[in-house]
Amino acid sequence: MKICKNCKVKVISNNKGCPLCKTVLTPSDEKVIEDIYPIIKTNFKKYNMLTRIFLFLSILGAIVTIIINYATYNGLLWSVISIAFILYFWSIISHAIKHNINIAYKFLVQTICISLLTIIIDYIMGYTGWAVNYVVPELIITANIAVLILIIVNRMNWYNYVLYQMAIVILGFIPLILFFLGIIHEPWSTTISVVVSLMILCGTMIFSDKNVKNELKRRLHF
Amino acid sequence: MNNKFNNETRWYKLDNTANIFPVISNKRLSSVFRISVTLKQEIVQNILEEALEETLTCFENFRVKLKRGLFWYYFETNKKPFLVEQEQDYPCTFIDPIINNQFLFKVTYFKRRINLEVFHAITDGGGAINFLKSLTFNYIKLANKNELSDEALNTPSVEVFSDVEDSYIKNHKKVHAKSLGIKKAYRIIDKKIPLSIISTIHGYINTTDLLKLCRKKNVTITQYLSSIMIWCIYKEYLNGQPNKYPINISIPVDLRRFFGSTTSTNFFSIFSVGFIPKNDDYTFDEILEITSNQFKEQLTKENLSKKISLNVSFEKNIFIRFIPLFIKNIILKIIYDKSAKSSTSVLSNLGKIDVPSEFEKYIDNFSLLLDITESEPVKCGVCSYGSKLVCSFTSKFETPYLERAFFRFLQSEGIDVIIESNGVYNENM
Repeated sequence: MKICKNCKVKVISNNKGCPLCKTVLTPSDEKVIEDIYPIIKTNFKKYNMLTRIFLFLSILGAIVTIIINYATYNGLLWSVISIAFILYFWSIISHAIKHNINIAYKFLVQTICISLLTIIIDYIMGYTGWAVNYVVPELIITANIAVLILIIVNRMNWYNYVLYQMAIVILGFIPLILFFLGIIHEPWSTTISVVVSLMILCGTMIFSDKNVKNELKRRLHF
Repeated sequence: MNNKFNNETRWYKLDNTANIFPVISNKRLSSVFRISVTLKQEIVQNILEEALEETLTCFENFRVKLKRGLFWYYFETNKKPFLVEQEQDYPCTFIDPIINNQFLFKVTYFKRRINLEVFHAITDGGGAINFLKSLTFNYIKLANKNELSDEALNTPSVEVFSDVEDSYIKNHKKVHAKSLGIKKAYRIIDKKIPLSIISTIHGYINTTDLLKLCRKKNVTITQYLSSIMIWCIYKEYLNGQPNKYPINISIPVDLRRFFGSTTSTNFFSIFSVGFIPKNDDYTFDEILEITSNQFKEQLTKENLSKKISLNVSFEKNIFIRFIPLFIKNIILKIIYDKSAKSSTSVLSNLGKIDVPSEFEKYIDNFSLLLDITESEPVKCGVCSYGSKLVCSFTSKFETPYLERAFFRFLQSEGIDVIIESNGVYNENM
């Protein structure tokens, strides 16, 4: 035990100074003191070089394309497309390749991202409707089937995927709404998308076990 | 076959206050508090692991992982094994669920001390102390099998088996949601320590001496200590000058004793005491009187009941219930950021911790450490066991002005203080 002359308090410490005021301590007995806290190796946040390089290149790339596009403008805003690709690239490295994210969730996010990407390309290239008419419904069909395969392969884990499966099923009905709004003209891709979604919804209701239903109940409690 | 009930994935909703913590917490603001117990013997890891396993069977709300629903978060049974580690971090650091097997609490040990670090969403100080007590008793029983009497070995280590009732909802009365009326408080601004470093200073005080002094002044320990804190902030940081913002100290209260609840989830409320320094000639006794009167006014069952009801009314509101979680989170974050500005600092008193007499001789002391935030960079946790009362300051400041003034004040009032620290301030020398 030591004493601080300034604070008048007793101090248990192996250090020479008072932790309150840094005054040199006067020892009152010579007992050896054990530290009450471990020495901590400060774990500085890992300097993530790769992410920083990608971030720098992304910003650089975006600025360069905007400048070139502006300098050589001929009525086509193609720089928007390349920026959309850069953003899509970030959706992959921040989500799709992370290992602790639910696979069905990745399918859902990728479906939405690629859909947006193709719609942007279509819009910039002079809108002809190929994205919403063909690509988007087919992407949703693919996602639906991909999750279905995932569930068949890994049936015990169905309950883990079911929330995202239902979200993709709901996406499957969006082409129908767009069809009635007159945005989609192609009836076939819309029909297949809706039918696949309906079949999967129906199959889930019939084949799912208690685990799946409980999971839905948990996730949707309000 | 095992019991069917145990095999099924169980889940339950977060209690009323717990909802805020997953939203606001990150590496900078951990919402983790630590309660430690120091024994008189060195801790052995595998005995601690065994004791913990036994304890976890009685505390369902600790054996959980946090999941996202579409509208609310919820807890689900966590079947993964729990890991006990030697202490290797600063106190109250963020508990990353991914590296912690998705558990929302941590048990670490260092020499004679066991630390329980808890993410506030699963429980409050009252719930955590029950868990730590149970863990300690189990540990002592396992480590001293031969020495303890049969009676001691058969003493149950819990009082209530996992009660996960949401006592807020149980005790609320219907009211209409209205604005909370948040006012800005004085904020201590000073140079901070870099990065994740947290300074810790414990002050050990003799409980009987302090009680005697408080009796003489006719106040409680919490009233007295919070008044000292306000006084020290007024003197040290405001230099005894007037200020347009009040110095407010937030005081958490355990609601269990007010409402007769035994829940092991959160059941606390926060009220604040303080004053606006209008002149420059306040004396300590004036502040003590202002503060203790505020305690008496605010710490009534009706007042607390009103607070609970108001909070529950938000959760029960049909419009709020159907807002998707991510939008709810944005709203909650904005409300939190605003309300955090209404407090200068926090003083949390866990009170007197009682243990059965058989175990008393194995335990040296208990202490409480609070996490610090951007708006409240220094906080004080108080807890007493036997004749030892421990005031533990956690701080982000480079110079411990508040701690120094606080302990010097106590010493000048004739109360002996023994200081121990984690050495952060000494490192700068």
